[in-house]
Amino acid sequence: MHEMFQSLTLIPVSFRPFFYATAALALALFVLGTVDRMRLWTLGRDRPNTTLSGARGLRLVRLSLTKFLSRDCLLAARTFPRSRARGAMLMGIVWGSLILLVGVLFSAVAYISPVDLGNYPLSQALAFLMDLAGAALFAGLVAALARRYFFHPAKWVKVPGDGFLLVLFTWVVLLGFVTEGARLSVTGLTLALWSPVGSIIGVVLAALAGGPMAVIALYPLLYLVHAVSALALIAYLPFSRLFHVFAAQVTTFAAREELQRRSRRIRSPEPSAARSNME
Amino acid sequence: MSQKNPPISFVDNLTPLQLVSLDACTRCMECLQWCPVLDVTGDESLTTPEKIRIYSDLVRSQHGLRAQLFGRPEVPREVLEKLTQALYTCTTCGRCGEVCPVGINTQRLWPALRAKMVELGLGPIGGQREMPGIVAEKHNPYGRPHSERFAWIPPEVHVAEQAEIGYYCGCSGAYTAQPMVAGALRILQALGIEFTLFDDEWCCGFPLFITGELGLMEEVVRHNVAGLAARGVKHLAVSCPCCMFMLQNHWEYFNGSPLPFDIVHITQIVQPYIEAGKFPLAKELDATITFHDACYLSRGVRITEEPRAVLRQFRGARVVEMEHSQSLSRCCGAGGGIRRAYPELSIEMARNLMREAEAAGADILVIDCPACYERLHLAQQGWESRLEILDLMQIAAGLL
Repeated sequence: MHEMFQSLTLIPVSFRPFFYATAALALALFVLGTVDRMRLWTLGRDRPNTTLSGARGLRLVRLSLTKFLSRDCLLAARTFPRSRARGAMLMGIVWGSLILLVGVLFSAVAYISPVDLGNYPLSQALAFLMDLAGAALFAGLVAALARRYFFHPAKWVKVPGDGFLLVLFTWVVLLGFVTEGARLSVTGLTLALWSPVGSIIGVVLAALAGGPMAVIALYPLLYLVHAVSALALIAYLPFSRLFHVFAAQVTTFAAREELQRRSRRIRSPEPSAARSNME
Repeated sequence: MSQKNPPISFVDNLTPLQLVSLDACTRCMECLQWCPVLDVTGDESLTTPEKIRIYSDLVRSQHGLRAQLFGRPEVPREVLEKLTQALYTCTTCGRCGEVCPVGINTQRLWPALRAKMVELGLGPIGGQREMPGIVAEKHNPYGRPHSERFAWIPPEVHVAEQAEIGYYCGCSGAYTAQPMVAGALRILQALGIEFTLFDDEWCCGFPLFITGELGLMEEVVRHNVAGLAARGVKHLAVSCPCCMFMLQNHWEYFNGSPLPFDIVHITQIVQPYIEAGKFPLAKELDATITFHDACYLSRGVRITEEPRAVLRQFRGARVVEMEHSQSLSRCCGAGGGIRRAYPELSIEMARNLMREAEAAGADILVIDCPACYERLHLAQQGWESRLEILDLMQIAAGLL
C-alpha cells in the first residue's frame, strides 16, 4: 500500500520522533481550538420560532460535520448563481480537499493496520483519484490567490492573515505535488501512470535536480517540509477564518430551512371571510 | 471597559445559530458588491465582513479558552465605537445575506448586535436616540398625536367593531403614507371583506427593535395583541413590510405566548379574489410601471409574487422589471433607522433606486411599503425626476 504514497519509511529514523511530536501537537491544537470554538456556539440564548431553534451543542456539531455532503457544499449551489468561475473554484477546493482527506486517512490507517487493507488495484485507483483531487485543489487555490491579489472586485476589504492562510494552503498542496513527483521520479514509471500530475512534476524535478539520485537526497527534506507545513495548516485552522469550513455547513443548512419555513408560512390558510365572500 | 468592571457578555444577545454565523463568514466579499450603503459612502470598513470580523473577535477574546484561563483582555473603546458606527451605518436591508454564499442571515443578525451596543451605552445614534421616549409617550415614532392615527380613513369605508379580519395600518402608513393605507381599506371594502381596526393601535415595535432598543417591546406588543384579540381578529392583514416582518417573526416572542391570529400581507388577502377573477378593477392604467420589492417584504418575509399578481390586474399597464428586483432589489434607504441617523445618505440611496427605475423605462415606480413611500417622495424634492411614486393599493383603489 504505502509504496504508492508518501511513506515514512523514507524518512530517517532520527527524524521520526520530531515528526510524531509535531503531528501530535498540531492535532492537539486542532482539537482544542475546534472544541473551544464550537463551545462558543452553545453559549447563545435560544429563541423559539427561529430557524434551528432548539439546536444546541451536539446538533450544531453534527450539522457542521455532516453537511459537507450537501449540495450547497459539494456543488457550490449558492455560489454558482453569482459566478460560475467562483463556483468552479470553490468546487475544486472542496472536492480536492475532501478526496485528499479521505485518501490520506485511508493510507494512514492502511499504514498502521496489521491487516493489508489495500490491494494493488485499489491503491492504483486511490493514487489516481488523489492525484486528480490534488490538481483540482491546487487549481482552485491558485484561482483564489489570483482573485485575491490580481483580479479582486473593486470593493474589497483587506484583512491581515487571510492572505497568509491562502498562501500556506497553496504551499502545502504545491509541496505535496513536488514530494509526490520526487518519489515518482525515483520509483518508476509504472506507478507514474496512476499519478499523471505528480509524474510530470517528478520529471521536471529530476531534470532540475540533475537526476534521480539527487532527488532521493532531497526527498526526506521535501517530505518533512510538506508534512510540517500541512500540520501547521491543520493547527492553525480553528484559529483562522478557515474555520468556516465547519460553520458554513450549519448556516447554509439553516438558510434552506428558513426558506422552507417561509414558504410554509406564506401558504397559511386564507381568511375564511375572504373565502365565504367569493362563493 | 476594564475587566475590573463587570465582564461584558457578547454572546447572550445571540442565538446559537447567530454565533455559528459569525464563524461562517468566508470574507469572499460578495456582499460588498451588493451593499447599497457602500454604493453611496464608499467606506468598506463599515460593511458586513468587517462587522462580523470585529464581533467574532470580541466573542473569542472575551469568551474563548484563553479568556477562561488567563482572564478577559480589555476591549478597546475605539473598537466598540467603530463597530457601533458600522452597525448603524446600515439599512438592515438584508441584501448582503441574500447573496451570501454561506447563507448568513444578516437581516436577523444586525438587530441582535445593535441591541448589545445599546446595552453598552453606545447605540443607538443620532435621532434614533429619541425614539424610545417618543414611542413611550405618543405610541408612534413620528411624535404625532394619536388622534391623527386614523384621521385619514375614507368616510365611505365601513370599519366593523368586531371581525375575523383585522387590519394593522402601522405608524408609517398612518402618518406618512396615508394614500397607501387608505387604498388598502378601499380595496378590502370593494371586495366585500368585513374588517376591523384596533382604534388604540400602537407602534408594532419595529423601529425600536431594529435600533436595538428592546425595553418597550413587551409593552407595545402585548397592548396590540390584546386589543386585536378583543376585536375577534383571527387573521391580521398588514400593508407595511416592516410591521409584517415584526409581527410574523417577533411578536410571539415578546408577547410571551402564541398569537391568537395569523399574519397575512394585504396582497395575500386579495390573492384568492384575483385567482377567482373577482378583483373588481374597472379602469385602465396607461403607463409603464415597475415594482420595487421592499427589503422586508422580499427578503424579510419572502413575498414577491403576490404584489406582481396585483400588478397584472392593471389593464393597459406595461410592467417592466428593474435591473435588481425581487429578492435582490435595491434598498430605498429608509430602513434600519438610517434615515434618522444619516438622512443625506438615506436620500441618496433613494435616488439610486429611482435612477434604476428610470433606467428601466418606468413612468410609475410602484411601491408597497410606507417607509419607501415616505423616503422616495422626500428624495424627489429638489431633484428632477419624471417618475411618479405610487403605492400598489393606492393605484388599485384608484382603478376601482
